Amino acid sequence: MQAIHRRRHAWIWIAWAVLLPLGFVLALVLRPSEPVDSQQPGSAAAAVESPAQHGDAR
Amino acid sequence: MSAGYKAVTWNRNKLFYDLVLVAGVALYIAIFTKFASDYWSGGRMIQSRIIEMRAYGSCAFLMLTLILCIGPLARLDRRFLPLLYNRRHFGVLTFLVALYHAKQVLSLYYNFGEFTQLEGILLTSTAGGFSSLTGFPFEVLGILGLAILLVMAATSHDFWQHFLSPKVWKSLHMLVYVAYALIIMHVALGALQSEQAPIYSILVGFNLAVVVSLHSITGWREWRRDAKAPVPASGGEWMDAGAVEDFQTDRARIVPVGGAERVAIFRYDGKLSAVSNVCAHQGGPLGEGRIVDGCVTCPWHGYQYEPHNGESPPPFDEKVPTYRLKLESGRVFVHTNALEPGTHVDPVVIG
Repeated sequence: MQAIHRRRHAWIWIAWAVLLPLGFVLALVLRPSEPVDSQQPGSAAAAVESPAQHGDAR
Repeated sequence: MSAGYKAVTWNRNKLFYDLVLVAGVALYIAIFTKFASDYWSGGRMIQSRIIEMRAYGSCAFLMLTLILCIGPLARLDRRFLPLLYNRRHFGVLTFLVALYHAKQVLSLYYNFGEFTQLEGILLTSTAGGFSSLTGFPFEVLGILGLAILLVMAATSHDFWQHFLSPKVWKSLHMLVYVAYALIIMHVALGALQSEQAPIYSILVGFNLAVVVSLHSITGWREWRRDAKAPVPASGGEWMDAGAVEDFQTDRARIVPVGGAERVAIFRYDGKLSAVSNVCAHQGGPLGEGRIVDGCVTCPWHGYQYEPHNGESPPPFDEKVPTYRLKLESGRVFVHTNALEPGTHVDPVVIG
């Protein structure tokens, strides 16, 4: 059973160890040259009435 | 099924471990806040609350990276084992730091209007859809990661391990890797979209590279060890485990048997006994532990088993499978068939 578990985990590890760095690099490579203030909520959701857009967060 | 709750047993090691953790978090927050204020004050003004939010967020990320490194480091070098001993407290503190980060985000950005904070973050972050990279609702990834950390922190006590069974509990806690993936993408699609200076990407990428590399190295070592193991005949057979002088006193030799099952053969008091290499507590490698007070002692959390029957001494009731041994011409042979957990096997006496 130990071996079965390890073999099963091995495929999960390989997927994790390959896909995660790939996703990370893609997210950086494909980002726009102009900085996006993604910390600002609703920045991608202008259509939605976001109360936070109207006020000073303080 | 029944499981009784026993309060956390505090000892000097645990208190010291936790004190170092809390001091480390406080120090990191203080240093980050001080230097970030100086660093960012030159250009665009950033509110002190945003700096604090980033301090706690980056602290939680760093803590999770360290937690994921402890396991493979302890496999590579025994000197890291003390870090593994109280890793669950490290995890719970990480959740609390991440929770405070989330609370700051909610109160900073979603504290107004007709929506509750949670409604606000879900509605505004997902309104742009999931198709655009720059507008990707990275907040949702953070919420999912935090939810996993919550489940893990809530079930970290041994009560839940007994209640759920070690197998289910372990599977549940393997979700930490999903949480780490979610948080990496939360940072990559969130903070790193706005902070485009290379240093931020390099720092996050370095953390990820260390975690992935350490796991790959230990995984490769385990795979090579399994690959070398011969496959025994069906019904079991006696397998050569090495010359008797190769067995160190109060230590074990780990022998792959049964198509990569592993047996820990301990030498103690002039005798040899064999038990499964997998601890009944959290699957720790018993063969990397040693004999303490006459018992096989797991290197991870100190769970103990009698070497001749695989039973924990009273009042504990954990059991691990045992294996038969024989000695021929100075060589130790182990039978590849595991016996039921707790089965007595006469130790082999070394002449």
